[in-house]
Amino acid sequence: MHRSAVVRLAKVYCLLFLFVTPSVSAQNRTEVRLLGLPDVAFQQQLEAGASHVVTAMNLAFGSKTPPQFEAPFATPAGRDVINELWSRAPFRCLRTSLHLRADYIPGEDRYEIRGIPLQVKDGFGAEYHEEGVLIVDRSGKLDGFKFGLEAHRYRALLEDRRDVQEYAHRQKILDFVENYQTAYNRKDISFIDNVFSEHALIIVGRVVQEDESRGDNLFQQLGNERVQFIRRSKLEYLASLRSVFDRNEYIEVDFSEIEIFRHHTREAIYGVNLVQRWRSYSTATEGYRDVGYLFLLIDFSDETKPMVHVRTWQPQSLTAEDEIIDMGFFDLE
Amino acid sequence: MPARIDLIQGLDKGELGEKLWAALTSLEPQQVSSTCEFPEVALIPYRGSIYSTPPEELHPGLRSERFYRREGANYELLRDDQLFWENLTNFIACPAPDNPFAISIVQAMYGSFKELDGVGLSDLIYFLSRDHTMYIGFDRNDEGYVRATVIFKHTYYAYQHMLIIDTIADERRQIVLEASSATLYTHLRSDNVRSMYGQYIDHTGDRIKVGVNR
Repeated sequence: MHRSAVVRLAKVYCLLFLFVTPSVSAQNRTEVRLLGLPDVAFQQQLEAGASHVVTAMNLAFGSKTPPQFEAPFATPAGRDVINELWSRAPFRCLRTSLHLRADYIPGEDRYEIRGIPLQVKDGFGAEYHEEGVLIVDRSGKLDGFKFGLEAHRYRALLEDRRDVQEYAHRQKILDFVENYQTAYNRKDISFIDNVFSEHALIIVGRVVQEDESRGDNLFQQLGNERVQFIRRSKLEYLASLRSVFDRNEYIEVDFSEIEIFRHHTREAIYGVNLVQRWRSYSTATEGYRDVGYLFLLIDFSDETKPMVHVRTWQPQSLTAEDEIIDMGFFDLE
Repeated sequence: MPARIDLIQGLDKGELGEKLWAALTSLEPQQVSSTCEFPEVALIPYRGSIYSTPPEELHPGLRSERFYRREGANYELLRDDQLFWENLTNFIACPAPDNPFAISIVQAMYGSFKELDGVGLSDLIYFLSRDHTMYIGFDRNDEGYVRATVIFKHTYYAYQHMLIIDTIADERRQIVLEASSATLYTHLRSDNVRSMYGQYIDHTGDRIKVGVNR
């Protein structure tokens, strides 16, 4: 081979070496850049530590040996956690650069670096995705590691949480409504007295002949001309109810078609619409029965002591669907 | 006659609650984990070597599955702090026999709340899960800790119990804490409900003013 050709080839090999060697290294290297830290020097310290740790995972994955962390970058506890997880399923990061947040955990005086995308290989060779979380102490050393939730799953969980909370809340409302129903069946005037607010608005629809109703309707716009609406105070309602309880040996009240509404702006205020079937008997009378639409406006700001602010009743047979009183009929003050 | 437990047993909601309270407070310690060690259903892949029972959702966020790790040809109940949510689900659904989880539990009764004296959370969960399908969901309490809601649904009698376990875990530190309290709501009927999430529109005519300040 001509000498100049050898020199050219040597130059090519040198160039190849110069380019190939760093690119092989880059396959394993993951540079971590961090946001959310006020101190630039500390930020750089954490970035160097996180980059070293993730890169060590990548190198270990390729060599099938446990990750080797240099002492300045990991505490013994941090090394043990990763090695213990590693022995079960090795993992690596396929990204060459990551831009993440470092969140300070006040109670523990540590930082969490979340969102490291990792490929995990289980004992059967199957690979799957996990999100790694580095836990770093104040000196910038890896002090712990865990698998977190992927960001989209985390968001879904947060949304589900709101659903779970609201579901549980509405079950408590259902619990209250069923106890309220039980109070009528037990003729428990004390329970009913306790749950009505002192200034509760109580509206009872009374079925009357047309002549009788003329000019008497308190809330004319709420019903047709054969239903007279009577407004009662809590004391008047309880006195009337006590009289009904006394006159009847047996009362059977059943709620169905229960609908629960939350107020648009007052989160602790709920409306409940339902169909109430009432039957009462006594030896002295033939008994009485009716079916009506019941509406309750309930304040649940103290869940252990719900308070009824409004109770309305309308006869089902004389009330059109669009005339049923619900939360939309009231302005809260 | 609808299959309603109150009609069949001739007891109202308050009496049903008293009867359950009496049963719970006279419980003998149970072999609590036995129902979870060998699931009777085929497991499905969850991720990696983790498998779950077929998930069933009662409501978004309230799910029925339990988690297992495949070890060779065997499946073991998952107990792994690194898989926080799966571990926490199993922690509640399949209490470890050596963890009685003794906390203050109260039962919402007719018109009051009553302590379930001496009842361990593990025993309570085991007792209720025998006849009911259990669904578990998580949210966060006022202090920011994870709170668990456990629903025990009885399909035939169309009712459910709800157990809310407060301060059960710290999501940030991914550890299970000693729970501070739990509240049990019982015999919540579902057959008489038209909608738990009704929508209303404000009435266009004159509206009635109501004072709602206590």
